[in-house]
Amino acid sequence: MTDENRNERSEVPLGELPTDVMWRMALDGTIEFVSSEVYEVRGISAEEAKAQMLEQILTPESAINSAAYMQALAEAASKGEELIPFTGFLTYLRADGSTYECEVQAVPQVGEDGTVKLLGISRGLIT
Amino acid sequence: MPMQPEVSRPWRSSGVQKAWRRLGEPSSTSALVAWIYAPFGFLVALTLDRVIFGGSPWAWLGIAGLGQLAVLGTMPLLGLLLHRFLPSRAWSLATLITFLLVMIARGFVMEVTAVFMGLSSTVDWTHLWVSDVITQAGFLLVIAYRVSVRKEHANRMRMLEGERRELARLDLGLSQKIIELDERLAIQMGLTVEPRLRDIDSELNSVAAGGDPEHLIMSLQNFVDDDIRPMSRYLSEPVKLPPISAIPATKDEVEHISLPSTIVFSRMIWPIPAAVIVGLFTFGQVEWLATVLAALIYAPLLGVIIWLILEAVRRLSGERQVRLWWGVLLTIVLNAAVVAIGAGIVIALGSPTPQSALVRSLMGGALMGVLSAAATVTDVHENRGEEILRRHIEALSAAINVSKQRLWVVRRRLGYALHGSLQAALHVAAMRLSDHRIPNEEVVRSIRADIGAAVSKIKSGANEPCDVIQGCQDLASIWEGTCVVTWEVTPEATEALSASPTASECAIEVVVEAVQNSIRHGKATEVCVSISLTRDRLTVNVLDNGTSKTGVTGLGSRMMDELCVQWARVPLGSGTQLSAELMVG
Repeated sequence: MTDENRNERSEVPLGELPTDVMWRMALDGTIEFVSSEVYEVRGISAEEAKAQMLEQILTPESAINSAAYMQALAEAASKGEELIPFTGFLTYLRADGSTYECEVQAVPQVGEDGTVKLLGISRGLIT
Repeated sequence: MPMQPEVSRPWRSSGVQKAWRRLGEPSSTSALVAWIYAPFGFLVALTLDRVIFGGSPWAWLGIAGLGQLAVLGTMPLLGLLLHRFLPSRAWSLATLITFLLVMIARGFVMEVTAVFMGLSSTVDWTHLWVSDVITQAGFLLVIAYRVSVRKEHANRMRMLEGERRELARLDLGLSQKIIELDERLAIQMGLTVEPRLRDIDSELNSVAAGGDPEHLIMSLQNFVDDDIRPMSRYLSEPVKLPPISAIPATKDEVEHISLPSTIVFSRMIWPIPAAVIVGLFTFGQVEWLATVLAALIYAPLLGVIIWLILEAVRRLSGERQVRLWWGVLLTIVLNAAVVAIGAGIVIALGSPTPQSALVRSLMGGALMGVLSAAATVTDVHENRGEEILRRHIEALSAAINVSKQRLWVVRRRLGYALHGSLQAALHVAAMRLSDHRIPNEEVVRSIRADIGAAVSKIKSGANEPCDVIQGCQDLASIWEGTCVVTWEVTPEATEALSASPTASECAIEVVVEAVQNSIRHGKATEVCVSISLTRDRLTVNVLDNGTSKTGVTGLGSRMMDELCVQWARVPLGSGTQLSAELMVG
C-alpha cells in the first residue's frame, strides 16, 4: 500500500467505506455485534464471526497486542482510571487462510451497569 | 407489490386438453413409466388362460420379462427421438404413437418367443397388432398421466420451496438489518459523535468563559461534514441485506405429514378411469379368446355400465367422510362389485364372454379400486405438503412486510433526526456563535440545550406516537380550500393501529401519498379515505374525483412497494381509486 492510497482512504469518514466493519466487544473477548460487511472482507458471515475467539480472528501477533490492550483496559476500569481508546493496525485472518490488515479504532464505553464494552471500526487497508 | 388483474385462461378449465398436453411431456416416455408398467405386463402374462395357452407360469413370466426388456429399450429411445426432432405441438400425438409402437415391439418379442419355446404354433398377428397393443398402450397412457401428475407436484413443491427459501432469506436478512441499523448507529455515536459532543461541550465552556468562538464554529461545521453526513448518507442508501447461510428448513415438516384419519369417500371413486381401465384390461382377452366383434361389444358395454354405476354412487355419497382405511377397503370392494354387476349385465344381454375374461374383469375392477384409492390418498398427502409450504410462504410474506415497514420507519425517523434535528441544531449553533462573537451564558446554555435535545431524539430512536386520525385531520386542514378530504376509520382498524405505531406511521404515509397524488396530479376536488381491518391486514382505500394517470412510477410507487403487501391504482369512470393492503405487525 502506498502512502498516497492510505491518505485518500483516511479522508473518507469512518463507517462509510464498504470495507469498514463495525463491532462491539466485551472485555472478555466476546463479540456482541459485528456488522455484515465482515463477509466482504473476511469471507464469513456476521454470525460466524461473532462465534469466533480472538485467536481465530487475528494473527498470533495481533491477538497478543489486542489481549494486552484489553487486559490494560480491564485493570484501568477496576482502578477507576481513565479508559484509553485504541488506534492502531491489526491483521485479521480470512476464511481462505490469507490475512488482511486493518486500521482499527476502538473506544471503551462504560454502560449503565458499569461494564466496559469496546466499540470499534476496522478499516481495511489497500495492499 | 402491485396487484395483478385476473387473466382468464379458458383452456385451464378443460381437463381433456390438460390431459392431452400432459401426454406430450417428456416424462410420459421416460424409463420411469416403462418400469412402473412392469407389474401390469407381468400380471397380463400370468392371467392367460392356461387351458388354451400351454406352458408354466414361470415360462410366461420369462416371456413377459423379455417383453418388459423390449419396453425398457424402445420407450426412452423413441421418447428421446420425438422430443429432439419433432415440434412441441406434435409431442402428444407422437407420444400416443410411441406407446403403440412400444407395445407392438413388446407383443412381437413375446409372440416370437412363445413360438420359439413351442408354447404357440403361430404368431397371432391380429391380437398382436390390434387388441393387445390397444390394451397395453392404454395402461401406458394411465401410468404416464399419473407420472405427469406426480412430476407436476414435485415441480410445484420445488418451486414453492425455492420461493419459501428466498422469502426466509429475505426475512432473516431484514430482521438482521434492523438490528444492525440500531447497532451501527449506537457504535458510530459512541465512536465519533459522543467524543465530538464532549469536545464541543468543553469548547462551549471556554467560549462561555470568554474564549474565541471561531474554533468552536469550525468544529461544529466539521462535525456536520465528517460525522453527521456520512451517517445520514448511510441511512439513505439502498438497503443491502447481509448474507444468510442458514435458512430454517421445513423438510421434516413436509416429509413427515401424517395421513388424514378420514377422507371424503366420493374422491376415491373415479368413474371414467375405472371404465377405461377395466375396458382395456378385458378387451385384449376377449378378442384373443373369442372374436374382435365380441371384444368390441363386451369391453365398451362393460365400461359404460361401470361408469354409470360408479358415477351414481359418487354423486350419492356426496361429501360424506369415512375413516381412511375403511374408505380404501370400501373402494376396492365397490369397484370389484360394480365390475361384477356390469359383467353380469353384459352377459345377460347376450354378449359372448369367455370365462377367463370374466375373471380378468373382476381383477381389473379390484385393481382399479386399489389404484384409485392409492392415487387419492397420495393426492391428499401431496396437497397437504403443498398447503404447508403455502402457509409458510404466506406467513413469511406477512413477516417481511412488517419488517420492511419497520426498517422503513426506523431509517426515516433516524434520517429526520440526524439530517434534520441534529444537523439543524449544529448549524443554528454555528450561526448564533457567528452572530454573537462574544456569546453570553444564555446563548451558550440555549445552544447546549438544542444539541442535547437533538442527540436525545436520536438515542431514543426518534420514537413519537403517530395518530392516523390526527394525520387525516391535518391533511384535510392543509388542503382546505383546494380539496375536500373526508375520512373514515373503522373501530377495529383504529384499535389495531393504536397497538402498532409502525403500521400506523406507514398507513398515514400511504394516505398522504395517495391524497397528494389525487390533488397534485389528478386535480381532484374531493377525496374520500377509508381505512378498515380484515384479519391482520389493513385496507386503505382512497377514492377521488380527479383524472387518472396510470403507468407513472416514481418515489411514491417505490414507497408503496416497500410498505404494502399489495396495492393498485384503478381508474374509475369519474375518478381514481387507490387500494392498498398493509400488514399490522
